[in-house]
Amino acid sequence: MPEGTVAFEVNAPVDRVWSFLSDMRKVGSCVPGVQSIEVLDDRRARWNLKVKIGPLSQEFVVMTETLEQVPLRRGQFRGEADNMEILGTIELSPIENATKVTYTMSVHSKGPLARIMDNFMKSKLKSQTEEFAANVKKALET
Amino acid sequence: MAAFDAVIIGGGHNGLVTAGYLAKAGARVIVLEKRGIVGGACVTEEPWPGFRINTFAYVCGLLRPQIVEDLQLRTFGYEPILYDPQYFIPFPDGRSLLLWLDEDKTIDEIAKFSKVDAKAYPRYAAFWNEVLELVEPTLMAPPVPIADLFGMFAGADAERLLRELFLMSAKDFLDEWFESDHVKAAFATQAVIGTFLGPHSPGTAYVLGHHSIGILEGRREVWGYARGGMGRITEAMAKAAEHFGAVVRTDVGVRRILVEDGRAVGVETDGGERIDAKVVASSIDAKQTFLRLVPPDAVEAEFLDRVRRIRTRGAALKFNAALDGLPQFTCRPETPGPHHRGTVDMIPSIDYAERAYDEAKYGAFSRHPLIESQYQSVLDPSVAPHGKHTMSCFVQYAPTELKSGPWDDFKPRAAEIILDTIEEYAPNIRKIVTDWQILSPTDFERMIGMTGGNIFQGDITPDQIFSFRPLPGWANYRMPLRGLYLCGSATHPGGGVLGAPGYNAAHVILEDLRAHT
Repeated sequence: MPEGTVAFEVNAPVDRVWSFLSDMRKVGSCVPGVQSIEVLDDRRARWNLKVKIGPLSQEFVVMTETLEQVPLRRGQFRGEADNMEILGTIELSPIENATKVTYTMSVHSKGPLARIMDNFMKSKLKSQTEEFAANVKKALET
Repeated sequence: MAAFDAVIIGGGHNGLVTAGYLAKAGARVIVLEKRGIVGGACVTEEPWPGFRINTFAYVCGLLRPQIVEDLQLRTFGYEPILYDPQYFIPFPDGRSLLLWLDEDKTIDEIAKFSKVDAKAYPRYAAFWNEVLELVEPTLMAPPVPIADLFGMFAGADAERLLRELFLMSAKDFLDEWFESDHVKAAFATQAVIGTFLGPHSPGTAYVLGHHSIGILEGRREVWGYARGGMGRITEAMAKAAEHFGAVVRTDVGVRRILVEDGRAVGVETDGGERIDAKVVASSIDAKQTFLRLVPPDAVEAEFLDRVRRIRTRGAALKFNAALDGLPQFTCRPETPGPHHRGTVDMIPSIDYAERAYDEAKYGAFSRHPLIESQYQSVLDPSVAPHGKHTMSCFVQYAPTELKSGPWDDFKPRAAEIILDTIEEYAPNIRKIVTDWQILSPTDFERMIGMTGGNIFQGDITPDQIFSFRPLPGWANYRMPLRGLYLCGSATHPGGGVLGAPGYNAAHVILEDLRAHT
C-alpha cells in the first residue's frame, strides 16, 4: 500500500494548529486537488477531488470520516471513494511557540486498475504530502 | 517433487529479471540460455580483439529504475552513462541539429530552423513528460483493458490523447507540432525505429511515445550507454539472480516444453536432459514458444492460429564496425566533437524515411536507408583499444525476407549501401572502418530467436500493445497451457531493454506459486 509521510514545522502554537487541522473544512482545503467540501455532520464530510494524471484529470467524490481525535495531539481520518481508500494521520507536538506536524497519508486502491493506481500514487504521494504541508503552513502563517 | 519452482527459457534481460525476482522471493529457479553468454539481444561481444561491440541492443534508458534498485544492478556492475547531446542530426544540405539535455540549448538549436518550432518545443517536451506520467504507472503492472484505462477519464483531453497516441501517424502528429521539415525529421526516427512501418503509417505516433518512456539518472525521456557495453546490464542481472539463489546455465537450448495432464511440467533440453519445474516461464517470443516448443496438441488450434498472426516483421539490421578514428561530418568538421557523444540520426526528412520504407514493403533493402548510429568509445574508452573507436548502426529498412535472395548473400551489398549513405555525411568513413559485421533479420532469428528479426518480439503498434499483447485475452502472462507463462518482450509493455515484462510476469508467477503451496 503506497504511503507518504511529511514532517514540518508551523510557526503557530499547538492550540491554533489543532483548531485548524481538526476542522474538516479547513483541513480539506489543504489537501491537493480538493475542489469543494460539503460537511455532512460533525464526523463526516464529502470532498470533491480532482486528480491530474499526466495530461488527463479525473474527478472523485471522497466520503471522509473522522476516526480519532486526541485534542492537541493526534487526529486520524478515513476517506473512501470508488476503488480507493485513504487513511490520513496527523500528529502534533509543540516546539516552544511553534508546532511540529507529522502527516502520513496512505492509499489503498481496489478494483481492476488497483495496481496501476497504486503505482501512480507511489509516484505522487511525496509531492501530495509536501503540497499539503505547504498549504497548511501558508494558511496558518500568513 | 520438481527440482525447481520455475524453469525460465531464455537468458535475455526479461528472463533474467523474472529469475531475479522469483529467486529473491525464495523460489528455486533455473534459467536456460541457448547461447554461450547471457543477455539475448542485450549483449556485448568482442568480434575483433579489444572492440566490445553491442551486437544488438545499443542504448539504455528504458530499463525501469525500480528493477535496477530491487536487483541491486549497480552493485553487480551496471553503470549508465547519460550522454549529452542526446541526438545529432546531420543534414545533406550542410546544416545540422543537436538536441541537448538542456532545454534552452535545444531551443536555440531548433530556432536556427524555425522560430515557431523553437517556441513549440517546450510544450512538445512537456506533452511527452505528461504522457510519461500517465504511462509510467502502467508499465510495472499487468495490463488492464485499454477501454478500462481510458474509461477512468472523460472529456476533451482524454479524447485528444487517444486520437494522438493511438490513431495518428508520426508524420501527422509531428505536422501538428512543428513546421520545419528538418525539425520534424529530427524527431521522426524514434517513431519508426525497429518498426516495419513508415512515418506516414497510422499508429507510429504511439511508437514515438514508446521511445519516450526512458528514465536515466532521474531524468525522463533520455538515453545513455551502459559502461562496458549493454552486456554489462544482463551480466549484472545474471549475477543478481545467482546472488538470490537462481541457477543460470548457458549453452543449454530447449528442445520442447514437457506437458503432462494438461500442464507444463518442465522442459527437455537440446541435449536431452529433462528439467522438471512447477512452472515454465518463456522469455522468448510467443511464436517460438507455441509453434516450436509446445506440443501442438497441448493448446487449441484456434489459439495457435492467432499466435501465427502476431505481426513479427523485421524492420532493421545492425551494422557494427571497428574504427581507426572517428567520422568527420561535413556539417560539423570538429572531430572529436560533442556531436560524436550520443546518437547520430541520419534522416534528412520524413519523406526520405517513407521512401526507404516503400522499398522494403516490396522485399528490398532500402537503397537509401535511415541510420541511427553511436560511437560509444568516445565517452567510454573501455569498449575499444586506445585510439580506436566503435560504431553501432541500426539501419532501416531491412525486411525479414529479401526478394533477391538470402540475407547472408546480400550482406556485402548492404554494407556498401550503408557506407555510401554514411559517406554522404562523413566522407572519411571508408578510410576509418577496419572491420565490420552485419546482423540481418535472419541473424536476429537464428542467433537469439526473434521471429522475423523483430526486435520487440512483435510490433509495438496500438493493436499489439497493453491488453492486446501478445493476444487479446492472454495478456496477463498466464498462457492457455496451465503452468506456462510468457515473461519476455512479447508481453506488456513490450520490447526494448525495459525489464518490465519480466518484472510483471514474476509477480504473476509468484501469486500462482503461493496459491498452490
